Amino acid sequence: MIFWTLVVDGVVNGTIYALLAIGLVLVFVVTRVILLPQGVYVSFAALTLSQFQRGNVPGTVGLLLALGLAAFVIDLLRLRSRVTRAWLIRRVATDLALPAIMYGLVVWLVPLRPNMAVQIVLTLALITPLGPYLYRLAFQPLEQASVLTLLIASVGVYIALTVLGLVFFGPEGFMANPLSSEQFEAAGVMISGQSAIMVAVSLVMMVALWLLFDRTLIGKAMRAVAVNRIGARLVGIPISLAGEITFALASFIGAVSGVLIAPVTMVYYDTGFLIGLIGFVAAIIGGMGSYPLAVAGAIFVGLLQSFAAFWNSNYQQVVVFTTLIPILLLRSLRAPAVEEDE
Amino acid sequence: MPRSAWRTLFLTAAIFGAAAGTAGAGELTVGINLPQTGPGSSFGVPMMNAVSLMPPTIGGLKVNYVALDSRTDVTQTAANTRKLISENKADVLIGEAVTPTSLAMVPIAGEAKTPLLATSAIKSLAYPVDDVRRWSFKIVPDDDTTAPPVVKYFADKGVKTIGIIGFNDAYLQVWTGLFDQLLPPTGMKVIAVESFERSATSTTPQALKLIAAKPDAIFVAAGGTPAVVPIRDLRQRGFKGIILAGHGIGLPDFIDRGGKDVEGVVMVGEPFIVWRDLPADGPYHKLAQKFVPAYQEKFKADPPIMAAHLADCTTLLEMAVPEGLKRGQPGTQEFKDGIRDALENVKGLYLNNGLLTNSATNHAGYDPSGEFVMTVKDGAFHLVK
Repeated sequence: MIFWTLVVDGVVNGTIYALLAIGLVLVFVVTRVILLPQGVYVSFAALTLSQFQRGNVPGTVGLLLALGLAAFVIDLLRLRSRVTRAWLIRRVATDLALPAIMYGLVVWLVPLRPNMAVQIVLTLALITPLGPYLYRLAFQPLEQASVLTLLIASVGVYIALTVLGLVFFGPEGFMANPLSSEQFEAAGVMISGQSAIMVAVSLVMMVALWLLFDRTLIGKAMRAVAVNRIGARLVGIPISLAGEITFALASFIGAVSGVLIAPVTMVYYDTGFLIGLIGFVAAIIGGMGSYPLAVAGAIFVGLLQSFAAFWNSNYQQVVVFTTLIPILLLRSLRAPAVEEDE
Repeated sequence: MPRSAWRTLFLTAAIFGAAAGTAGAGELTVGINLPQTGPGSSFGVPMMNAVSLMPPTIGGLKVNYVALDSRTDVTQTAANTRKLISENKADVLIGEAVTPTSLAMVPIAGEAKTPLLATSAIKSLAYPVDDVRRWSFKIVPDDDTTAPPVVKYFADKGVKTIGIIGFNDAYLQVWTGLFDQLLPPTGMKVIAVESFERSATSTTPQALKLIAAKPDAIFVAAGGTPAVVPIRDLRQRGFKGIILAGHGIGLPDFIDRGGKDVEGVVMVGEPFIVWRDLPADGPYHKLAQKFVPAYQEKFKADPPIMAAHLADCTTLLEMAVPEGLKRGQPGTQEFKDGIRDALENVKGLYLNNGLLTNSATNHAGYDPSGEFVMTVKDGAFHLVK
């Protein structure tokens, strides 16, 4: 009985890690960025939702304005002489108008105490633009750099985001109201409605992503960029746009995960890193290239965490991260050395 | 204008300018630093509300209350505290609501030799009493004070084995230490200690392990809303024994978040939380009677415990200010020394937070007899008789 409860617990946590792992793999194959701050989208989304539920204007609106402005200025400086009217109109709309509109919308809606559905939609709408802004701020200028350079940039972005998180959300932790307080029993194991929703939403997201990549033109274009960057450019696929869309998808996935875990645990401004790191372990198991393996790895990590916490709660995290070592050893022994360019 | 006229004008302006920040002669200045905005505002707002109910005169002196918003920010708190001391010449300081900002006020008050009435829970605000902390006095009881009644409650209920669950941090160590100290003479034992990470998305494995150890009672070493997570898991996984938590759960937020799952959770807490259940002719009921109706009338809501901290500050000041006046006038160091000594030597004073007897080594001298066992029943805390 305990065994099956732990299994269910592990699988439920695993699906959240699976979403994160998919986001990580996605960003890596298209842009070669190892996005350590993926978990930060999760914690920011959770904090944003919690703030909405308390009737406060979340700090995210300030963050969005700041990042939008920064991305705009950086791009303006980078392109300088090559700025066209069309580009200017488009960027003002996405970088300055969008955060301003979101700010106004949030400030207007918060006192009206909207219901949970509206709060969730607002949260997703606030967090998703963060991805493209970060891409344009930190990673697009480094498009041609090596994976190592991009990783170092990633660490820098993580540190900056954590500090910004402290500025905009403060040091206190928050927990949101559950989406469902139901409890039901299946084969002798108690499962909460919240857990069922978490698994269902994760599965829907995975199917939707699969459909996106398999059936739509945008998805196929992104896969093309992932397979061969220069080849994709040759056939007219804009690399930086692919990068922006990828980052937007990653932040959307992170936002959904954040909304799902917000009622389950206390989230602080620095919680995201640890959650993202566990998703990272799962992505490593998938070799940072295969989605099904990443999902399987995530479920494995979830189960490992559950059973490790049961065996000795003090070593819970130690066990999870120590499994990285044998996995990396195995992979480096079996995988051939991969060339950066074709 | 002739030069001498300019000089006179300038001097006059300078004198008025210098006087602008200070209180009038014979006025007590109380400097208050609380989080009206920021994450601590859920505590700070009721506290600021209570400030507006503090009396206009104390000990025959007119009181000049200077209240500043800390924005739950340590840097702002430091700036506010310094401003209150140097510009407003505060005789007494009150603050803050959450740990990091409260801790920030202590060294500044100590350096300026100004008494600080510390209104948050962490023990190190006034412990150990050294050169800096001899100026801080806690309004909120330490966990040490609530531990003996906890142990007595367990003993009375015939508990033999205890399980503990808490965050993987210092608070858990505080309670495992307290239990180590207090349990041996009673014959009770702690048979399992589980911890969980701040970022854990589930405490189910720890809850399962704790339940499998079959303790008679479980102590949750966590405060506020975070405590809801393990309690919910324990109840949903079928633990039917006594669940007792640290007195940090005495907040309406906890009951809000916890809902049905926290019904029946026990804690040892301040008398104010259950004042309606206490004897009508007793000191705590009378104290609350003085404060609660005024708060309810002005703010149309029941005051939470942190608002009562300000009522306790008033009681303490009413006791200490006359002592201070014996030594010197407001605005002088002798006056502040007098207040400090009076606060340190208070004996047997009934407050909304309990029964206070301070000493040179104990600036949080609440007596365990002033803390009460209470439980969550029908969505509110009630006294356990």
